[in-house]
Amino acid sequence: MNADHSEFVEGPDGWIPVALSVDLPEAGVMRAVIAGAQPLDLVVWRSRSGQVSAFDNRCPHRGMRLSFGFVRGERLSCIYHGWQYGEDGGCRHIPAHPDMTPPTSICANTYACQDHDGVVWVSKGADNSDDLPNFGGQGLRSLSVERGETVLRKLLAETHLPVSLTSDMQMAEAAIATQTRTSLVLEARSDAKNLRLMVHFQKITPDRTMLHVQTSPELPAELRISLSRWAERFRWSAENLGTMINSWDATSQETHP
Amino acid sequence: MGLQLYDYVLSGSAYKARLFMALLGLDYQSVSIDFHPGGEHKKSDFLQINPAGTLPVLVDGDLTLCDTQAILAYLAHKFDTTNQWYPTNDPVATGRILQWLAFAGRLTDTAGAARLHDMLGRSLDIDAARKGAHKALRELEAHLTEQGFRGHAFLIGSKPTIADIACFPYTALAPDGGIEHDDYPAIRKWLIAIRRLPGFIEMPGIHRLHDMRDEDGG
Ligand SMILES: N[C@@H](CCC(=O)N[C@@H](CS)C(=O)NCC(=O)O)C(=O)O
Ligand code: FES
Repeated sequence: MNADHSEFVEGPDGWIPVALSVDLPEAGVMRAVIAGAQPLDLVVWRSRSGQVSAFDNRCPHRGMRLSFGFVRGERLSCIYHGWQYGEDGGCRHIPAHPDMTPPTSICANTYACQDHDGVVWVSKGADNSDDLPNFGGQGLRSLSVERGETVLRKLLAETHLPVSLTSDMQMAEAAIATQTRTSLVLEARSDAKNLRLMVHFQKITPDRTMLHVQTSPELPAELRISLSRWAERFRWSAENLGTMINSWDATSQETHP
Repeated sequence: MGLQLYDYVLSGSAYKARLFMALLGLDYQSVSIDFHPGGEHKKSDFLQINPAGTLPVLVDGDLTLCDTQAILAYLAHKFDTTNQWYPTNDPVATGRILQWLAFAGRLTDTAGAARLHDMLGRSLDIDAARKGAHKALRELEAHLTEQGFRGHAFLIGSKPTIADIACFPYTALAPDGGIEHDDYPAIRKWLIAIRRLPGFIEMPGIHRLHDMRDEDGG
C-alpha cells in the first residue's frame, strides 16, 4: 500500500486512461477525476466531428463545472451563462456580448487528450502518442472499485476468466501477459483461441480506482455478458476482501471459543 | 371530465406522470400542490385525496390513483394503442417491467431522498441514502451494460417502456443529491437515449439535449 501512495507525491505523469472511446460518443461530455498530490477534476468532451479534449472542470467565467455543459458543434458550452470554448480552451463566444470577439486571455486550462486504441487518454504534460499502448481491444465496460490500484493488480493476477460461450460457469485460469504503468493484459485459453482482457487503471483516490476493461475483438454477446458479470464478481471480491477475512475470524471465534 | 394530475414542478415522481403523458400526447389538467415550503400535501384537504400524503395523484373520472408506478401502468393500458409501453400480452416483458417499477421505488427512497436532503433541507441519514443510491445505480449500470451487448438501448428491449419512465427521473436527478454519474457510463448513454425520445419534456434539473440544435454555428 505504501508504494501505492508514494506515486501521489509528484502527481500523475504521462497518459492516464479516463474512458473507453465508446463511452464518450460524439457531442458527449463527462467528468474525470485523477488522483495526485493535486487531484485533477476534468471535463472531457468530444466534438461533433469526433475530436476529444480535456479541460479543468471550472468555467473561466464564474467557476461552474464545465461537465454540466453541452457540446455545440466544435465547442463546449457552459450551462450557466453559455460561454463557449474551442478545443484549445479559448473562449469563442459570450452570449451576453454576441458581437464581441472574446479576448484570448479568457481560456480554460487544457490537458493533452487522445482517443487511442479504443481508450480516451489524458496527460498533464507528455503529448507524444508513441507512449500509448496498442492492444487492439474492444471496449467491454468501465467500473469503479473501492480499492487502490496495487491491490487490484495483485488480485487480477489470481483471477479466473469465463471462457466458454455456452455457460459462464466454465472458467479458465488467467495469466498476466503484459503489465505497463497504466495497464495489465490477462490471457486465458478459451474454446478456440486465447481470450485477452486489457485492464487500464485510472486512480481516482489512493483507495478508489476506475477500471477500463477491453477484450479481444469481436466476441459474441453471450461471452461479453459473462465477462461483464465476471467484472462484477471481481469487484465484489476486491471490495469485500477485508470483510470476508474479518467475518471469517469472527465466525471461527464463535465456533471455537 | 378529463385527466387531472395533482402536481408539483420539482417532484421527480410527478414528472414521471407528466413526461409519460407528454410522450403519449395526452392532455390533462394540472392541479399545483405547494409541496415546499407550504407542505400542502400533508394537510387535511389533500389527505382526503391521498391519505399517504404523497405526490403525484391522478384522477380520471371516478378513479383516483396515488402511486406513480400504478399511474404509469394505468395510462399505458388505457391510452397506448401501440402496446409498446406496457406489453401485458407478453408475460416475460410484464414480469421484467414490474421488477423495474419496484426498483424505481428504491431509487425514490435513496437518490430521491438524498435530493430532498440537499435541496429542501429534509433531515434524514444522508450517508445511508447516498450509499443505497450507489448500490441501486450499480445494479442499473450492470443491467444496462448487458442490454448494450444485446443491442438494446432500454431496460426491457430496443423500445422504451414504462419501466424506463419510472427509473429515469431519480437517476437523472441523482447529482442534485450529491450522487454523481461519473462511474456509470451505461447509465449516461441510457439517459441520453430517453432525452432523445420524440415528445420529451424537461423539468428543473433535467434538460433537453441542447446538442440536437446547432443553430449558432459552432
Ligand atoms: N410511493 C409513492 C412515492 C412518491 C413520492 O415519494 N413522492 C414524493 C414527491 S417526489 C412525495 O410526495 N413525498 C412526500 C414527502 O416526502 O413529504 C409513489 O411512487 O407514488
Ligand atoms: S460560469 Fe460558465 S458561463 Fe458563466
